[in-house]
Amino acid sequence: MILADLSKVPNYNDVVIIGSGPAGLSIALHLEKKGISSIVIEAGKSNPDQNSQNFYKGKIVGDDFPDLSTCRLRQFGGTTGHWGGTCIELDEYDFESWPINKIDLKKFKKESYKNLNIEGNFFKKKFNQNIDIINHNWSNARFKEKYFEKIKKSKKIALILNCPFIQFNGENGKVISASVYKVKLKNVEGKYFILAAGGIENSRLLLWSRHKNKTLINKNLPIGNYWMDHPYHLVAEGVLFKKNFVDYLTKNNLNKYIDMNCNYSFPFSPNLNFLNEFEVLNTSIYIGISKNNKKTDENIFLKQLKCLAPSIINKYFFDKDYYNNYNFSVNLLSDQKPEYSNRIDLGDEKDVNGIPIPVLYWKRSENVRDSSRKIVENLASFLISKNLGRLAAEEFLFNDMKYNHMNGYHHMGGTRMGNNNKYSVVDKNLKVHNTKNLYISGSSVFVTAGHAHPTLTLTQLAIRLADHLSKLIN
Amino acid sequence: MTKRNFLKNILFILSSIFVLKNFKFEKDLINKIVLKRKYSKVWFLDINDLS
Repeated sequence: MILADLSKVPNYNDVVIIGSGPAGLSIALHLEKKGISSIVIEAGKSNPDQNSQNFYKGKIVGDDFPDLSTCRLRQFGGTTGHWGGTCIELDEYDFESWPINKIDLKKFKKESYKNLNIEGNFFKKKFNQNIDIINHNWSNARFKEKYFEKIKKSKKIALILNCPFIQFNGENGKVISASVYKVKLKNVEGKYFILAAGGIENSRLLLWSRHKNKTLINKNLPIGNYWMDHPYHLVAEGVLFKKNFVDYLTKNNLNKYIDMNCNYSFPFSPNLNFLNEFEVLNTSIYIGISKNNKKTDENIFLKQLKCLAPSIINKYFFDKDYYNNYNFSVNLLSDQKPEYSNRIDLGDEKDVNGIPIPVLYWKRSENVRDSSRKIVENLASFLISKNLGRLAAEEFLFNDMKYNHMNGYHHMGGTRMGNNNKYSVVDKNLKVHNTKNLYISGSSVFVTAGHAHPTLTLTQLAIRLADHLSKLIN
Repeated sequence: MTKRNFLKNILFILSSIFVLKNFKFEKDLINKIVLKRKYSKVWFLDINDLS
């Protein structure tokens, strides 16, 4: 049901969920299946608008980073309203420093696939000694379109829109109520409280609640710290020797995974042996293959290669192939090691609700450059050894020159999971350390980033949390 | 040597130096060499590519 105003909000609720993105809604939907009522409090409206987005403004200190008000959506359904829909699972070895293993999420896979409209048919296929071909599942799920009508009709899920959360109230680790605002302020009481407001807001709102209520949340928890994203950058381009490359794919039964007739960016990732032996970061290696067949549009890399090493043209290109060839680009989406200094903090400036705007302190790890260079060197060496093509790498990989990168818009960490409250904010059940009934859901609980787009994993974690709460309640 | 040939030779030597400066030898990796091209990219080529 949709609640029009605060007077309709029950004074006491089993579960109070702050945020209606993929995490918040997945929890509410799972609880509904178990016959448990919840109230979902969403700061945005059913559609995004500029006034609402302005609440997401923040400051950035350090390396370049996209405007914090553009890389997330403040609306019902959250950032699924404009996401790319890429779904991929974290690798088993990404969980090494987590208090749970990948297998702990297995039980919740099916439901997460259903929520995200994907089949979950993930594979890894050996491409060479060091890297595997992997695949993504593409989600077309926009949670607003998918779930608005369902929630409107639900008797177990109450939703109130345009109702910003202000702070948690309580003492000695027990949350009594959540202050929310819609025309007036109201304290919504409940048994369990879940903060599921997104990868930046979770840290910001938790920091603010701790600031306002000293006895509620442990002052030593590293809230906001170990924040992560996936640096994304072009690292190399080059030319494929068509005949040799196609022969290699055919010989190794890889041609069904790489269709040379479509211009597409194929994802690869380092295997465990490569990660350990070369100490590279777990990375999505996107090899984009483009077909050239216009005489008027001579392949620029082939042109450069012709100048550098003319004999290559005679060796690997037949006359008809010279203008009918393939070039490729290599983009990397890298893991970002969790670092204490990368963090969300509260700024001096406040929004109209009196909550400080977030400040993101962000510096890309230097090992991203080293790792990227090793991956490129390895790929180049492989192409040469099999005579499949030649690669030209970006110069910044080989020196300490400044370079720009994009980000994956994957906000992770800040309220990370762990057993030790010195290094983590929530326990393995996503309960904030030293509290009795306050939980966090979303990619902010990630301990490491891996190279996987986070939505699938955060959805599985959210369902796991809902399952845990349903057992406590029932 | 005529003045014209002398100037041609000087020009050839100068242009050779310019080209060599642009393609700096970096390191030898098993069966390949790395050439660095200024202001652009680092091409990975097999030593046999240059023969």
